[in-house]
Amino acid sequence: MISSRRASQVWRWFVYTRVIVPLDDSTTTLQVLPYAKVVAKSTGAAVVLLQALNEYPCKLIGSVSRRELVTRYKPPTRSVRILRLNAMTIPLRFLRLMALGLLLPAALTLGACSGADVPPSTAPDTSTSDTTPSTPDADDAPTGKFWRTDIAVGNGEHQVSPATPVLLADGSTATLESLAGGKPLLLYFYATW
Amino acid sequence: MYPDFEGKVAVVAVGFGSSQTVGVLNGQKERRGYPGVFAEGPDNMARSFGVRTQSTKFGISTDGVIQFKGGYGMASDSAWRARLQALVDS
Repeated sequence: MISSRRASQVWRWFVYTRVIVPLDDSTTTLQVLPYAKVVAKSTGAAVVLLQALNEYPCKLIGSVSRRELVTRYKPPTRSVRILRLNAMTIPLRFLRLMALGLLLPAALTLGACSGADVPPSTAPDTSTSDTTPSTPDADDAPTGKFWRTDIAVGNGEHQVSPATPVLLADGSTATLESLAGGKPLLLYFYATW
Repeated sequence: MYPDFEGKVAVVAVGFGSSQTVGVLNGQKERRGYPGVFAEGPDNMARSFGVRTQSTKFGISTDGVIQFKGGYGMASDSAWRARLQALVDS
């Protein structure tokens, strides 16, 4: 088990600064590219499309060409690298790269299974229906200004959070500041996958 | 642990990734009975917050100052309880 402090350090330095997408020479594996694109676009990570071959040079590859990869991927981020490696002689440095890219997230996921990341569970009386898409928190939110303006806005500790507008279920928008409504705010970047 | 902090801490969950629309998030919220507000941020929101992975959380005090920031597997239940209490006391 990775300690929480260690996991945080690892997360800061390694995870999702580079997204490695292993591909074979089939079009089936290309189905993962939109998902890699989403992650890369959200995080600004570099993307490495990794293709291991039984033989070299690349002209022996099947139906997927480098051009097709680039065309289908439509790179949104600062870089996309396409590596084609001879599977029989993959250098050690690439094995390390793959280990970081593939095993580390898995290890962190296992760490997350300790339960620390389960969203705050089961509030007894706050369930909402389709007719009341805004939650009680949103409904109760005062509209006044609460957040400081005398220190820098940023995303680090001891900086003022950006008061970003967000879209609510009823189609309206609200700022994080208004949703907090003068209370402390736990902001959770969440995904259903 | 959330019921202990209900009414004391506002919870806002924002979708991470363009597929996580407010409709998708609220569907899961209703199925699982999650509390708080589920919302969809602008495309650049994760980047402006420096978020690299889903499940990153920010504790923001009443005056808008970020008190803590952490990602996947950041802490145990007891540590979270302490952090939320510190957030309430801040």
